[in-house]
Amino acid sequence: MNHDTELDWLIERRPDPGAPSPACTDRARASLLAHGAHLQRRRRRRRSQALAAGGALAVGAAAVVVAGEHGHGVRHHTRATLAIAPRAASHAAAAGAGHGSRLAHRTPLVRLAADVRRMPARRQPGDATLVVRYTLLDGHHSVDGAVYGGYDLYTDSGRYYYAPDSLAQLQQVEAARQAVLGAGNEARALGTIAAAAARSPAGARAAVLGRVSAPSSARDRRHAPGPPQITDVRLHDDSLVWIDATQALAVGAGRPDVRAACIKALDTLHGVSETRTRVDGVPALRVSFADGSVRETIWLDARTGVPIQERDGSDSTTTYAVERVDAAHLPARISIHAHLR
Amino acid sequence: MPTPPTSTRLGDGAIIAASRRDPARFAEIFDRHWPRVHRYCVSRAGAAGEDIAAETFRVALDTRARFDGARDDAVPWLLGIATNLLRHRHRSEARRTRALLRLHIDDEADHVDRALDRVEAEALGARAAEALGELPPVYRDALLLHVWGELTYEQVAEATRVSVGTVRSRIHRARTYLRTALTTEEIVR
Repeated sequence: MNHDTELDWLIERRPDPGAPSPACTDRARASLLAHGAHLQRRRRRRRSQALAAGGALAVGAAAVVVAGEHGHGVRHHTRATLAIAPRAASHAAAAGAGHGSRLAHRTPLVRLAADVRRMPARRQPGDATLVVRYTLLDGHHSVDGAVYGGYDLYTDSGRYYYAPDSLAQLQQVEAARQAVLGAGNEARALGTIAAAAARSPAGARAAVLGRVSAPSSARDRRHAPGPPQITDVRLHDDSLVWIDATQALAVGAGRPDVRAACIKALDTLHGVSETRTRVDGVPALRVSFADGSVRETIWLDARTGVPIQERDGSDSTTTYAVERVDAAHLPARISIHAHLR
Repeated sequence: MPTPPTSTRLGDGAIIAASRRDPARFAEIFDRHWPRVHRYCVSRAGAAGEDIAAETFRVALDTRARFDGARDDAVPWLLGIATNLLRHRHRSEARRTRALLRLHIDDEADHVDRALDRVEAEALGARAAEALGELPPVYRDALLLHVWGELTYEQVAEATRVSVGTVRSRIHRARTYLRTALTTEEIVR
């Protein structure tokens, strides 16, 4: 065929894919909304952290006590320098030299991590983990059609499906193989975290921060703290560890190795506290951390480490339900208080 | 997707500015421009373009703070993101193919940047792939943003973050190359 110009020739060769299918559009839109909800959550946390920056600098001027390389020789740092030490090691140093190793395992978080890591994989049926997140933000579950929370399905093969409204919708998404984009990156990140399950809290922290490439190092095997860092950098990292570890606890709720590493990483946070309690009769560990001026809390199943509920500041609460399922046969309904056993 | 009446329709810049505080508002940008971004990406990458189109909006959401709120039309910005993702995807595909074939190429980056990968070549069609295959990517991108993305020169400049003069030059060179690559049976000279 003869054309007047090369542009006409090129225009004619443009493929005509037609309008995007409704399924493709819904999938892309759901992926975008899920990403937006995640960004919103992070933004709120960063804002609260920024508000507290002044206070953090003031704290930096005070003398602090940190553990030495092996939990022995206590050093005093002043002004804005502070070592990132596993909190357990700090406890050990405060209690006296020579007992760091034994005492380190006494923190509820470290003990829970050890229990979770020993959970046999064979006890988990199904081929996927279903995570139901019901979030109330400022008392609302949705704003302008964007639902906070939703239904996540993480298959053992690394696929991630999301539906905002119902299990039936999630089943349709799974049946159509409409996986959420970018899940491969998250799966790789989870793999890095999982590989740190057997490491020290400091090693797990590094994995959560994505700062490790090898499963273990000589320094990690010695349970060494990280190098001294400026206080505001440490606080920034603490905030990232809290955000990413709690996020990974939800995304990797079906994987004991991920949960164990995340729980260990939480143990490294400055000022983190834990309290044994019950949530609807289920023994739970209430883990609380001041992310800037806002105290945030996550309740973990005291036997499995699976997240039960999370409170982001004072105006956002997410309740989790986690179950192992067959991806092809999702349950018709799930109790919001169901927990992975 | 429902869209508000034209008379009350906010500009893209206002919506993107609002989405900085409330990311859910970005869904309005998706609803407005998804078909066009989808068409451009699928035109250039076939079925793989669907994922790239979706990824375009995720990247746009992440980088919305960089969008000039005074602009009413986000399409050039979105197609610019899509073009970068397409380029990245094509480069990755080319590297993967080369690794599989265990080829050793000294001028690796230049070769990879210039090569049309299998997916892009299939999407373009054999004849267009042959005609456009040796064009430097920046020329090819400018030409396809203009012809297939239906952007003006000014919008291509906005999408690729270069001056309008540079866009004119790139498209002129691309057209010249394309004209010489086509036969007299294909166009009138």
